[in-house]
Amino acid sequence: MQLLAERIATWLGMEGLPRQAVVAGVVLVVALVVATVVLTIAGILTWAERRVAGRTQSRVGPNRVGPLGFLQWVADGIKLITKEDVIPAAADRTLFRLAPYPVIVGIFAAFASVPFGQKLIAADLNVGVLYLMAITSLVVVGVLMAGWASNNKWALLGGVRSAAQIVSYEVPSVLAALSVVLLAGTLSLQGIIGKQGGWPWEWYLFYNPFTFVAFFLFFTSAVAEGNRTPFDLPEAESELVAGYNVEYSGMRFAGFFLGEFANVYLLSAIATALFFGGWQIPGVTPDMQAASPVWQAVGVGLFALKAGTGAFVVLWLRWTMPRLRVDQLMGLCYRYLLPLSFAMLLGNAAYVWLVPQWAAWVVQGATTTVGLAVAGVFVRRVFYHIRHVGDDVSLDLARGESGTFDPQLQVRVYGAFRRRHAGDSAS
Amino acid sequence: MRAFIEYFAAIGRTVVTLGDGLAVTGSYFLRRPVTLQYPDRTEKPMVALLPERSRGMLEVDLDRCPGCTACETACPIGCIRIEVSKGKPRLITRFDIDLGRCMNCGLCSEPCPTECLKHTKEFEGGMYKPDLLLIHFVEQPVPVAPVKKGEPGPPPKPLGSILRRLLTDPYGRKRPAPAPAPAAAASAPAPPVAVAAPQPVSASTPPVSATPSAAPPSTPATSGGPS
Amino acid sequence: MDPYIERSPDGAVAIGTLDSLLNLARKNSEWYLLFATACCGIELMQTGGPRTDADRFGFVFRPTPRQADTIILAGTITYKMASRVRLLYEQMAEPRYVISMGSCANTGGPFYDSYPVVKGGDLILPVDVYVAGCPPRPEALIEALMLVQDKMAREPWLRKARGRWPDPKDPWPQPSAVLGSCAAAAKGPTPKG
Repeated sequence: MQLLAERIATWLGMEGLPRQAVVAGVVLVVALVVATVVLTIAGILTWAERRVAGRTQSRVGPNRVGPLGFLQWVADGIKLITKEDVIPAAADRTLFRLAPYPVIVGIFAAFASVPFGQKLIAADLNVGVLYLMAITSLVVVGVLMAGWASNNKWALLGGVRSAAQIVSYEVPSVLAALSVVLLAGTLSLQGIIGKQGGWPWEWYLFYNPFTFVAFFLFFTSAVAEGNRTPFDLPEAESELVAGYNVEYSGMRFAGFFLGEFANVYLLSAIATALFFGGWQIPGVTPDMQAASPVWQAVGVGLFALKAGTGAFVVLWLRWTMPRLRVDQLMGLCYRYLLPLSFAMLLGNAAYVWLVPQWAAWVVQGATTTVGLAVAGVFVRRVFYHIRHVGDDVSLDLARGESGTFDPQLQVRVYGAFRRRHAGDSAS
Repeated sequence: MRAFIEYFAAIGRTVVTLGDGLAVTGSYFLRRPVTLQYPDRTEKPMVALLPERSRGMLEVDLDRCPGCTACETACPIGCIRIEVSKGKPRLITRFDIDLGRCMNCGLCSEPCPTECLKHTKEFEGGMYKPDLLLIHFVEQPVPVAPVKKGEPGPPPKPLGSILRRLLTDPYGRKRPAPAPAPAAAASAPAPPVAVAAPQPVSASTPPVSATPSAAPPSTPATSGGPS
Repeated sequence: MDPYIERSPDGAVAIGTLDSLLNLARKNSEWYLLFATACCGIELMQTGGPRTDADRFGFVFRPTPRQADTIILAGTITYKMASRVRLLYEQMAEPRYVISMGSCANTGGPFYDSYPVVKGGDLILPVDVYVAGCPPRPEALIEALMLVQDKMAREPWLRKARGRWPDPKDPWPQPSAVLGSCAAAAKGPTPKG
């Protein structure tokens, strides 16, 4: 294993200088590049979240700042810098100022071992999965610090909730990831991706029924770890005003905010690497990819596409699900996710031990078929809902032709809506 | 055994309902949003898109006002103030409506014998000073309109035209005269109220700040001092 | 576009001060406080809803005053509530703006003669924009938020934060030739959202 930094140092022909100094300098540059990329991704995700929220609620979302409102996140960022940095008088000043940093560090440091491409990885650790799970737990420290230092009851409740939640959901998340580690026989993310292939049936998602379920367990736990809706109890604005960041303003709040959205991308990236074949291109072997820069670029693009889709699903989920109650949250973790992920781990172990290779191919094909069938059913459901509700919700109908309000028409439309849905409960 | 089945049934229900919920919200990604993009991206001016009987700000047509002060009496919060001089002819010297206090209840327009006091559909009443929402409808004292049974009186003016002339811009400056109707509004089947909204001041028209009476806010910052 | 940014004739290059840039960002990211005292709150919620989408301009609600830029006095303010409103305002981070929404917040409105009602939000907070209506339509609130935008664009925030503005010798914030959004007429629908 060689650090990317060392490779760059060799490439620059700087072997003559003291090795440690060169490595330190290059590490700094690489860290800055990664941080910039992550900040940009997180910023774009904040914009994407608002667009997704808009379309989910049948509205538009930001569309005035730049094309399709794309520069909205830049405007938000600059504004947050200019805002006053309020530190409450009763707060623990040192801790209060320090709290955003563990969150940012925990998330951003995790990106060091995210395999954006076959060679585009800051540090290909041989304990990559372990490192990711460990370093993201630093977020708990920051959140708890913020909650405690704010000297505010909402913040404290949010911080404690967040700590309980992250610590609880860490367990099923790790167990579900272990299923894949068991199959691949390595903790290195590049190694895990290397064991998979480009085609969907070569992904670990469809490897066998146990990994198929394990993916959903991992995804649910990761969403809960990232404090995203439906698990956003730490920031539940109907109960705790804004949770642990209730007293934060300006750039310190932006730290928490960007950390949250970087975490969304991070969990999608990890899921992509573990279950969706990472940067593998269909029909292209890793050796071919290593030889050609073009395939490298395609691989990076494919990884970004897969991870972006995952992030989109997280945002979509957020605007679909209502928030869980606290007891339900813990019940979900300890009654359902934890036993199930244990079962999946044991199932995978038994699978590796018992099932011969020819049967494994059959199972792989069958799981892929089932998975695609589920996707097909889902798409059919989407179009069913479009057909069923149709444009009855459109205000154009109620407005009539001449742009005037027509109550009769509205009654008719609503009547049609009621009639169509009358048989729903029976069927 | 029963609990065992219930356990997995709960998981099944969760998965199915969650999937169906995602399908419902997912179907909205493929639909057109219902948003009316208010200031500039609507087909017609927003006022023309409002419901037929929506009650906006009040306006009074003084050419038809008999000066009976029925509206002033009817107003439950006293936001209408009318003064009518004695003598021949009787002159309406003051007709003020405080739109900043009016609660759009419509009690004033009901007793009006000539229907000269009406709710327009105008709603854009953002001002930097609250006094600007006090509208003085009498610029020159006008004689009261004689009311006779069965006589229609002068024809009603387009709804909102008087108010739009008197309502200042947020700084208290007179608005520019409305430009000729834009093509979009002209071609549309004209509802009785669809008068073109005032055009934005483009580069071709002289800036309004040249008017001497327009007092630009010397200290517009009322929002707290520098920190 | 922003009147304080000069453009080259072909529009390729735009020049403005750093304050213009900051203001451009500030006015396009105006977060309002999720706070209402009475029935105007219903319209305030509706403003963020599908039909009048406030998020188009970057107006999103924040539940906590620390992260909000604008407080909207939506509804009747009683004397008991007044101290809380004031507290919320003081908890907001600079720069902050106040919108008085509806008749009650403007002047006391229908409850002008009532003993427990504050006769106007400007008695307790420095109100920037007053909106007429009882309650104002969501579009009217959008217009008010855009008037606050206009106000933001006329404040050199860097100088103001250092106490160098308002300055009679520095007439940087020219009175806007844009008369608020009231004057904006329909330009026809745009196909893409």
